[in-house]
Amino acid sequence: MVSRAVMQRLDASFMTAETATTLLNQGNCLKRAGRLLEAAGAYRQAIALNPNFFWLYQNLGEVLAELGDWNGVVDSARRALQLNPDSAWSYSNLGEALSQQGQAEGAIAAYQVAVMLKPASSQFHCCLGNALIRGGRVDEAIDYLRRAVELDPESSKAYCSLGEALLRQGCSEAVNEFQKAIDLNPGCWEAYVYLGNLQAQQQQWETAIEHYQCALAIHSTSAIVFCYLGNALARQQQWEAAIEHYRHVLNLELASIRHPGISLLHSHLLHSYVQGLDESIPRLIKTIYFTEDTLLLKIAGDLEINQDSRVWVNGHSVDSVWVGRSSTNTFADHHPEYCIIISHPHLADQSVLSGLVIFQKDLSTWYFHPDDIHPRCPVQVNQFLQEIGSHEERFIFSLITKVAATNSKLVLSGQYQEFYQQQERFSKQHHLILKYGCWLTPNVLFLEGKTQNSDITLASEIMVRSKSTCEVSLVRFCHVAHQQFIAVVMCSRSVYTADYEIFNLTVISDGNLLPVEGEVTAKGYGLELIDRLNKKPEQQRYLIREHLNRTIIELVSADLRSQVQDLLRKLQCFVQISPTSFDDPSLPVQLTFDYVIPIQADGVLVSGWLLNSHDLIETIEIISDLGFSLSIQEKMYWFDRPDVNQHLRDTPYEKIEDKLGFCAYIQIPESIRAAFADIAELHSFRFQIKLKGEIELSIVPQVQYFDAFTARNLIIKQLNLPQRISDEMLENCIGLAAAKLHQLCMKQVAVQNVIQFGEPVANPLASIIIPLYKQLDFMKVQIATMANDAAIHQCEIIYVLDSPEQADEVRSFFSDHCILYQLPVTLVVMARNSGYAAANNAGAADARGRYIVLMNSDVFPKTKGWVAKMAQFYAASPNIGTLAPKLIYEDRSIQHAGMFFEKTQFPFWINLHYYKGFPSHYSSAQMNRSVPAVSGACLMISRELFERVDRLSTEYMIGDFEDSDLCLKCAELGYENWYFAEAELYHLERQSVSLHDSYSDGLAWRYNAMLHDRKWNTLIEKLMQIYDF
Amino acid sequence: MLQCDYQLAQSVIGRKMLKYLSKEIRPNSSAKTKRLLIIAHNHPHFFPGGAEIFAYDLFQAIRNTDYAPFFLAAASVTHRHIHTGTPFQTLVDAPDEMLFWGDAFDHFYQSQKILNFMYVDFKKLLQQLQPDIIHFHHSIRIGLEAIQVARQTLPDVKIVYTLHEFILICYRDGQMVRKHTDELCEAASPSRCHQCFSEFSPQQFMMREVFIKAHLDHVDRFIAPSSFLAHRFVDWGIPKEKMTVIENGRQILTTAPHRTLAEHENRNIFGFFGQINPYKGVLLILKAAEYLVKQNFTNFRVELFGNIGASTPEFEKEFSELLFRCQNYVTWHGQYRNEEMPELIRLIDWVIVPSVWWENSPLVIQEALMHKRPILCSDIGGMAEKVENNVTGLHFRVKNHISLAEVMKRTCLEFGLWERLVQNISPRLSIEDCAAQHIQLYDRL
Repeated sequence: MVSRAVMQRLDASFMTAETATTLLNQGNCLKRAGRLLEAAGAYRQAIALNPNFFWLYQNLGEVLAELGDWNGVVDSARRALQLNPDSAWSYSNLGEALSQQGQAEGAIAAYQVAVMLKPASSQFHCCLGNALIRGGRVDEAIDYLRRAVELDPESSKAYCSLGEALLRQGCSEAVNEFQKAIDLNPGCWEAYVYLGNLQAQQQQWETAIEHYQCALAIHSTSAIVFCYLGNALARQQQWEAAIEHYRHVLNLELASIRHPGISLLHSHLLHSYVQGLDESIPRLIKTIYFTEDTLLLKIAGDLEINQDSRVWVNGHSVDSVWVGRSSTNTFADHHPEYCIIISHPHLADQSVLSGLVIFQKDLSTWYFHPDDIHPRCPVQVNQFLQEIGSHEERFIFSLITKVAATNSKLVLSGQYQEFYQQQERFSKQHHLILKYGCWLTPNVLFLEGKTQNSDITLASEIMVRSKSTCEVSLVRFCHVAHQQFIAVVMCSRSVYTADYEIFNLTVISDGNLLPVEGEVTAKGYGLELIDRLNKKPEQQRYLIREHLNRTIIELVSADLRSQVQDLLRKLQCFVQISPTSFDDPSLPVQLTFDYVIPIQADGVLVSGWLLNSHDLIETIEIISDLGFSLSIQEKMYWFDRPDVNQHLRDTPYEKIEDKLGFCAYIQIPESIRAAFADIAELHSFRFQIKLKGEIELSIVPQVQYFDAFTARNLIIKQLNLPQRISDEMLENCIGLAAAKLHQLCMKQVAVQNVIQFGEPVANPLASIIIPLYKQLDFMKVQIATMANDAAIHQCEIIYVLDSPEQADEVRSFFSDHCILYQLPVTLVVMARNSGYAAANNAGAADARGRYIVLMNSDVFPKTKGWVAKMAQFYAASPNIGTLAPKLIYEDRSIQHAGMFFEKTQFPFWINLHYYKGFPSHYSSAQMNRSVPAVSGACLMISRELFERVDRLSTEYMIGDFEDSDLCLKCAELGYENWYFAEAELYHLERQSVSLHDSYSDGLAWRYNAMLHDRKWNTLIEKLMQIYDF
Repeated sequence: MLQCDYQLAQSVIGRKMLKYLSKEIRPNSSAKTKRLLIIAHNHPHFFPGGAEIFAYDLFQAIRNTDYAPFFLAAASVTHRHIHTGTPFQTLVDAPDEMLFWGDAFDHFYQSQKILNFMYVDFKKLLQQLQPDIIHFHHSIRIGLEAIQVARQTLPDVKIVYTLHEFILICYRDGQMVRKHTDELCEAASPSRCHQCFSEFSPQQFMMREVFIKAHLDHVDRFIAPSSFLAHRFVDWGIPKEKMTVIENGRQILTTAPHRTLAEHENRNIFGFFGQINPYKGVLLILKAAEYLVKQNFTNFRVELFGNIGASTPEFEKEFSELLFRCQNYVTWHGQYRNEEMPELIRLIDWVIVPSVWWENSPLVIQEALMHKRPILCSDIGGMAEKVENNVTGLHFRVKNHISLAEVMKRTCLEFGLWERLVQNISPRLSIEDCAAQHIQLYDRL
């Protein structure tokens, strides 16, 4: 999920320091740590900051030399010399680079200057001599080399080079020089090689072989020496020995190196193998029993074995098979080699072992005869491994360790113990020192430590081993400073607790075993780690947090996901991150983030303003603390921000008339989302702004975490500038984000509790559902107006409190008023403000009436018996979907006499009311009739139909269009919506909605209207052709 | 506590009330066949307003009938604290009188704030008393919910409600005078009420009306002391068939003798009885006097009786300036007690009632007519109804001091007018007769 590039950049950003000196120091540190590329980067950065400091070029040159970037060395040496023409070292570097590039004359010239500048340096004389040898000027070389020996009679190198020069001239004195070199430095293997070569020239193969072997004893990885030795052995017809040495050459991956012996080598190898061996048939190379039921096979041949291959032993399919493809090739024709470990009780019964069958995926089958398989008496493991070769040994070890994790018998076996100790001894000088180890959850281990003489691969494996059991799991390292790392491990509790929590940790990095020294002592299931992190420098805090988050998400197994949720939340919430910004009018770029609203796992909405008047910005990236980054530029929508333009008027920018406000909704790609969606919530973000000229700026915005409801309302309220927001922006950015949040809100809708006041009505005629929001003084009047209506007493009254903070007040209200007016009421308290539709639906959930009456709290009956009249009318007309009465304002003008749809100044259908504001007795409004839709302020629908259309739709934000949506759902099923003129109620409209601070106008309404239109456009058009005004 | 109340009573109400309070009340309960619960919005002991006095007088009078009355006064009792756990307490040790602690009252909705006073205590009281009739003189302080509880607790009880002014219609203390212009208001509506009280939305006024009417729905009979008031409520929505007009009766006293005229003297002394406040229109009298003097008509005198109350500093300033300018013709005597009325009215020929609001059945009109003094009054509302123009008094244009001045001048100049009007004044309705009318009404329910 997290690109490695991001990680590296984070690493680098951590390393970023202000001054060239610190960069130089960092470079040096990195160089010493062997992180050469990074070191080179540090030096280059330092050079960028301070291009006139010649030492930087010098150091860069050295690193590049080690990296083999000879062009780079030449370049940096030349730059260094421009700045400081008197540096003999720079000339020396230049000389080395040129000589490596085969430019012998150039190298000679460079070394000559170095010698001139430092005439007393034996080393430079020696180098010059060597260069002259390469340039074929052996005579001159001998002069300089003699001088070198004079200047430093202790220099075995100089003697060695002198010997070589003399050797080139065929001078037998050379032997003496080589001998002196060896006397001065018994480790001077080159001298042995030259002696060998000298003997070889004289066809004295046996002594040559002796010398070569001496050289190899000192320097066991020199491919050339193996090759010479192979050649010598071949000359002596010792084919097998020769082949073995050639194999070493291949093992040392010499194939790419141009060497005159290489083709010979191949031919020899082929020659020897072709005799008697058919390459195409897989062969068992080695087999060994670790325990009586665990068998290791090494197989080579033209076959493809993987976890899908099936192995049969004695006619039984065996599941416990581990396959690893060997990293080395013994064979010149690159037939792969495999290590297969089979661990199965059947193997124990060797007496009946009838052979081993391997089925390949392509259905080809291989049979191995039992005689080929088991050495009757097990060999010692170490001996066996030595036979395979040390490289292979570690590969097999990591494979066998995996097997051990599932087979405690194996762990406890003497073979394995021996093997393990051998490995440990081998890697004694390479280890990790633990400074702090802490269990963050029962399964997540956090390590902090130092590397000692070792490189680690960031993604490695780690073996957790107690006395009786062990497990190999993944570990992810992160360098936080020079040689300092942090790491995260997922581990089974059963493993580390098996032996009273005494256990060893061994990192398996690239086949190397790195024991971890130090003990994990702490358990920090609380905020211990957070406290620790908060004491660290800020940059490290980011780095560690991002690494932790990312690693946990990456490594956590399905069964532990719920366990780490809490940890992830803590990491996001409690690690102190201080916001930064660059609010400085003197900067060429002005960028302010006002809101950063993460929307669960789906994306993040950012808004703010940006002035990029010099067009300097190349990219703006948003970096999540969960360890991924996304580009936001392409997603930005622009709108007018007069306040910003005004603000800039007092700055050097003065009059700017561009649209500076922006808003962007950045959706997180599915691939990233899938990794964390169910365990972590998006939380905080940083912004990385890349300007032209490789300048990177970072902004840590003040991000508060909002719950979905608050976030939704914030968007609707804060970005409520309908005149500035284009339809496109609404649809692709703000609306999208708000709708997503709204969906989340609707998922969280829940009823807190249901309270019954008075005896519930048996078999109610209708269930009157009245949502309450904030303003409560209506209730007093509503209850009083309904209390003495006999028809109301046949109904159940369900109030739904959508502002639960008022629950106490409302509860005490009803406990008084329901007794006083002897009116039973059911109060449903929502767990939080959920909106009109959700509240009504919650109220309807347990409704028992034959009809549902949706009623606003600001609707009061004018006369008694209205509900009975409506129910009667409804029952008499089978085609009615919804039925709504006449509603009048307090001045007795019409508020509702049915609704219709119209396209006015908007590009979508909107809801309008018939005769709104007309006198209540206006003649056209006195007739019951079917209409396109009716108002939800007071409407009746049969409960059966209400359920059938799935109640009110909750996709509209905050409350609008739900009623017409319900009517249209009925119309879609062929029902009609009716206006009922015979019942008249007061409706003191909009008193409650206008109190919702995020509604006031515009954004939510426009979004709802668009949604409504998209959903019902066709049906509305059809209906509006049927209904005339 | 009782001692304190007596002192208070002495200072505030005086002798007449003391007589009531100290009287040994022994209702002849064996003869009683019906029970009546009278609920008033205050006790005259605490506030001797017209409606309170009338309700209490009526209660006293009904004691001598077939009905056993019980008097419950929902008092605003600043000197008293509520007892724990009950809204009830007593004023005197009488078996048929009780106080209801009425300070938890929502004046907007005319609603009781402590509802368990209603559905527990008031309900228990009803179950205890089992009245045949409940007669509300207003529902202020007890709350409209009392009507709801009464109907629920005693489904067959008859509920009578006397309307004393317009509080149920008009939030401005039931004055029906526009707040910012002092213009007389003909009818309430949500938007008009909102203009007077911007702090309440039109919707809230609608809710107020709907709420009040929902409770009044339980009332079987409304009584208005004037047809004017009755019409207003019928126009507002009270069913006409539920409305009855019964004049407020009162204690009939001996008529105070008329002033004996010396030779060449006229009936030219005008009296004003009432509070000195903007609504009672006393400034009109002063302006009229000043106008007459400017017109060189000086053969008259005005005597003002009453304390300054419920006014503004601007009003008081204007009052004292005008009084100073008219000092030769107008005398302000300050506060008086109602019992002093027979003494004070002896000096007076004419009583002026210049109120700038509607009035319903003002006490001062009843008093003046009882003492056979003809009345000059504004030509609106209850005043115009109770004083017949050119029969028992003379009307002048409301809020118009010139019109008043002309009428005053006429009374001084027109020979035989005073005598004619005095002759036309018929005896007033006594409280006993009034009680009888009520009994008749109760019996018919």
